[in-house]
Amino acid sequence: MGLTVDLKYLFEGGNSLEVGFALPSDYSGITVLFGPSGSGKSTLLHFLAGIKKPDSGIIRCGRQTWFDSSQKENWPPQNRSLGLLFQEYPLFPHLTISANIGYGLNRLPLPEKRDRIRFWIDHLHLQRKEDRYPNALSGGERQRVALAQTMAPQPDLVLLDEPFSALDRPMRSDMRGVVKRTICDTGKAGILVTHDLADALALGDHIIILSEGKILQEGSPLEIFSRPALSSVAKIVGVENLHPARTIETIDGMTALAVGKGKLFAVGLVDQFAVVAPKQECFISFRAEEVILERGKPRQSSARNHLSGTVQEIVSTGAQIRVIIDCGFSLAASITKQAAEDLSLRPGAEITAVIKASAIQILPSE
Amino acid sequence: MNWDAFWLSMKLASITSIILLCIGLPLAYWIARSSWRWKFLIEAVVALPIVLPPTVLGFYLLTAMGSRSFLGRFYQEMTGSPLAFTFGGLVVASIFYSLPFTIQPLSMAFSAVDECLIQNAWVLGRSRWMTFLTVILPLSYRGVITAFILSFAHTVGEFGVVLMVGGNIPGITRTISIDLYDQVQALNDQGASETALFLLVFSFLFLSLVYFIDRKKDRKRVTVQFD
Repeated sequence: MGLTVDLKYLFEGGNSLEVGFALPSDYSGITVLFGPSGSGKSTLLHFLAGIKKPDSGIIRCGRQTWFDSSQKENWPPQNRSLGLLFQEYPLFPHLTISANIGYGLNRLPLPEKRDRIRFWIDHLHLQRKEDRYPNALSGGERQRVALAQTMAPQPDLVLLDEPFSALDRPMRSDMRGVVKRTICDTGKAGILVTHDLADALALGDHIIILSEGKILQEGSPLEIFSRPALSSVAKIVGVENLHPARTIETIDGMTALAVGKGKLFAVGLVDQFAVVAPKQECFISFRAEEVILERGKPRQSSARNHLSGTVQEIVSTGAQIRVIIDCGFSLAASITKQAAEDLSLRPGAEITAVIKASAIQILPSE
Repeated sequence: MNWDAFWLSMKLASITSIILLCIGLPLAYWIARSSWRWKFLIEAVVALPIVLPPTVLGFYLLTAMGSRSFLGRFYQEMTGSPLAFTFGGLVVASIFYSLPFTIQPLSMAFSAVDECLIQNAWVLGRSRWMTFLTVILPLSYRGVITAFILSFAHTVGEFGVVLMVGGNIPGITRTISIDLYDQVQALNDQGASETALFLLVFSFLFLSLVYFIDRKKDRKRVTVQFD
């Protein structure tokens, strides 16, 4: 299933959506449309589903052209062979669970329809619930029925519109696993809309970053989250250390940068944004997990950045501890609880932050 | 109690309510779902009989059905008989007069159906027509019943329009409310009080039924909320 999307749409308030991306014909797995609220993710999904109509552009899925403004072509949702799992799990309240799962199977012969319903009831552990109505189910059961309803007609493409946003944490994690297994086991392609970082990381095989109606970057989760191409992408994907900087000099592929009152070295990276002219305004970004904290005498190491500073704040974030250090600029480090205890960290303590030059990403000023 | 007039009223109300349901379902669906910018004009026209004096509506309908109008002449040429002062004329007049009582409950019920359910049905491959039959109509059945009851009861009780368009022809256009008027004019207090009491109880029972259906809907809402 290949997908080509190139669309333009002007919202009533004056904002616009202008997106273009393509998924190869042998693509299977989940593509995540990731971005803050109001970036146009759900609208884009509704365009793909045919529920909303873009102003202009083209949507091609496989050999079918679902939408082409130049040819005045616009296929209705009924003909697009896709599934859409809505955020609200809209099950038909007047139909039993079996009838809900079989709602999209009306073209199948009755025995095949029964088998398909039975398969999804067993697959998603909904046995003994088939004759109940949606109101009699728990939240988790309703979600599984909605997933079964979406998947039962075996759509070529499955669209997921923030399907976990209304769930509590354990249920969210459980449902993520069910969705991932269901889509990947059947070899289908899925497009997930989310603004939740954990959803994107847990499910995404390919991530598209969308902000203010435009695609900022796309790539694998590792690429996007460890090497954001723009400071706005770094901000969206929650990179903890994102600071304005100014280049001082570049020697042997290594760039010295002034960051606040501090100084950092970064490796000039082999991408279009790495070649930085002297005294140029830019941004640096690195993840809090890349920072090593040391106390006592500085030791010899291969890391190029040893920044002395004072602990300002210590925040527990579940299994990890977030330490904010003033070292000429505000630096965030993420360490384990045990490490924090071993270092006897407390606000005001002197500390050295160690960062490898290769962990620091130089980003252009936007 | 004039049973001829009673059965005529029942026949008129039944035929009118069934025809109104056939006209009302697509019209109310269009009103509930359309985003046409001039839709409010259609809504105002549909609601006119609620505020318009029945005699005004009756006058215009009588004029339209008369042999001087295009419609009246066309009907007479097609059927060989005039429309005014006939049972057929009464049915046409009742349809206009009771139209808002069918359309408003229906369009309210259709509007209340969650848009997500409709879109879900489309994405699952069901046509708009099948979505209407399998999702919208079953979820709006209380609105359909209410519309039928209200248009039926309203037609039974109509007076001004019937008098203007149908006159007072026994067995053809003399409905139960016209009969009550005749009894009062003839100083038949006993007959008038029987008919009036019958109409009062009839209206009360029908309205009670409407509110009973609404109450069941409210209970259902509460169940869903706390589920």
